[in-house]
Amino acid sequence: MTLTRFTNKLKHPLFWKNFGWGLFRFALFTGIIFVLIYPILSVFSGSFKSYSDMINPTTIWIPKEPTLQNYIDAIQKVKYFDGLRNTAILSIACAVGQTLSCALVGYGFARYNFKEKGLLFGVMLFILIVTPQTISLPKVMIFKSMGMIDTLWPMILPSFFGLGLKSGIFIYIYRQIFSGMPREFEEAAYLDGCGDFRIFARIMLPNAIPAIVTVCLFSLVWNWNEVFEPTTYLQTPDMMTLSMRLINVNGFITQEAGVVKDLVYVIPIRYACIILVIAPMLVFYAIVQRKFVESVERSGIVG
Amino acid sequence: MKRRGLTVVQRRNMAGRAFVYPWFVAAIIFVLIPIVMSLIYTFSNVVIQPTGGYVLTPAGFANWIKAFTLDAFFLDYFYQGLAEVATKLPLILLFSLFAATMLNQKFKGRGFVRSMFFLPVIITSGALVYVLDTNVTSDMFANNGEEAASVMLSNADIQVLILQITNNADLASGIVGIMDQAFVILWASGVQILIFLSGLQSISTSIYESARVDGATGWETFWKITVPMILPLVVVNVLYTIIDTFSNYNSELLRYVQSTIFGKADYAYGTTLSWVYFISMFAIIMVIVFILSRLTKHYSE
Repeated sequence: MTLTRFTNKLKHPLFWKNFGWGLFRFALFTGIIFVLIYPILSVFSGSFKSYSDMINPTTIWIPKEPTLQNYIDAIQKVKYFDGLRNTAILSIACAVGQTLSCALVGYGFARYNFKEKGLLFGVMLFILIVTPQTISLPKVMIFKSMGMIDTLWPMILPSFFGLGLKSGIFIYIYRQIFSGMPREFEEAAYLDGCGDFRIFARIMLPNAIPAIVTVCLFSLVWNWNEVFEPTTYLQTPDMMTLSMRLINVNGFITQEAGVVKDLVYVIPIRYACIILVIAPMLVFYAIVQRKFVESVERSGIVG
Repeated sequence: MKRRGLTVVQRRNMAGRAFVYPWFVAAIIFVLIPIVMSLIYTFSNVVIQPTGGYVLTPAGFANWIKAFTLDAFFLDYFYQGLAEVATKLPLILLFSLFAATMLNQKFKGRGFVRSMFFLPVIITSGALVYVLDTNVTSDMFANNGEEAASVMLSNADIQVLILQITNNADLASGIVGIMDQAFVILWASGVQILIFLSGLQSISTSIYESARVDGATGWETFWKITVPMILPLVVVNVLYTIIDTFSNYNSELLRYVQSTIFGKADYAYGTTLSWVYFISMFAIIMVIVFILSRLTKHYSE
């Protein structure tokens, strides 16, 4: 009885179509995901390899004599925790600044119609396109005169005014979500004697939570991974962020006198460094990934 | 009786300005003044004084002429950068649209696949790709087995070795080249997939339903409904991809500009290079946005 039902199911033309489609999709996704995570996997496996594993051509994925020495070396040589502290302070401060300031600017662009608004919005898009290298030298001069070189302030201060890393994108996201809100909200509150800022803080902001989450996450991630601005303003090794240390990783590993520049020795330490740098973001992503996709979908980047 | 103070509309406008102007004032200080200053630098010689200030002496177009006639590296890197954008942009757009359509379907394990696709958004940084880029190539060879011995034998720079092998247009190296390219494209399209996906989700299902009732096939609905609805997002994605490619630490051109300004302390010349770079990027964006907005108009009519 059940067998005939099963064979009948097999005879249905849609079954084979769906089955083939599912198989194709599975193969495709497996392939793409393999390419996506291949580098991370190989770096991860490499970071546990001891010297003998490195010179043993039969060891490919699983080290025969796994060791944590690479991680210990990496943490000491790169001064990992100094970098982690700097990067954490920098990216959290910038994320807070950008999330707040871009919301204010985006709200101003979305809900008000003063004369020069179009012009200012054009300026905002222009700033988004300006390459940071073009203005880096004058900015160094300005921050030097303010005595902020070799501190984190040159990155943090602008982000509290809606001028941090890629702030234009965030202002745009906020503008999209705030323009979609019904006018009645504002009018009702206005008639009840609510001021403009209170309307923003009490009514508009709580309704823009998907956008807030999106901006906050992207800001955190982008500032965490940023290389150019920190390299421009930070000079002493103590102040270096994690991504700067990652770029100069070879220098850090081989800087001791007497160490032969042996690639077999350097590569696993380098891999351990890479894993250590991306690990905090991976943990963070594992926690928030569902929220992340959901809120980007609902944040109305689309308009 | 004449009203005193501001009208309601004026008060509202002032409130709007209060939201936007702090940003604008800061933008003047941190962006607009620096832009003017750096434009002045490109027509001068900048000498930093030991006391901390700097002296500008007018130099005319010398820096600009040097960039296009004397510098042996810059034009090479510049064309390389343009070629990179030209090849990567269509590939990234096509792949991300394709991936977004696939991810928008309902299937088992969608959450897992999605989180894998967006993984690069979280950890991709120019720095990481820069450090990884050579490693991927060398690893592929190490895993091939046959090349592993020579890689392990040599303590010399693996990068140079691989480069030499790759230039010899071997079959194996061709495969490695494609693999590397695929890796770069896939890793660079996370945000674009996200943007397309959010666009696809905002198209209401009733449009597709009515199309299906009228007898449209999946292929037809894709070209007649999905593509026109998503076209404005193509503009957003083009913008994002260009800005991202040009400002990525992985770009050789950018590293050259940066090392000229801060490494070699050739301030005026380095700034000029960054202007060439900025102007060309601006021009490319304008042309593409113009063409795409024409297309969008065609569809909306």
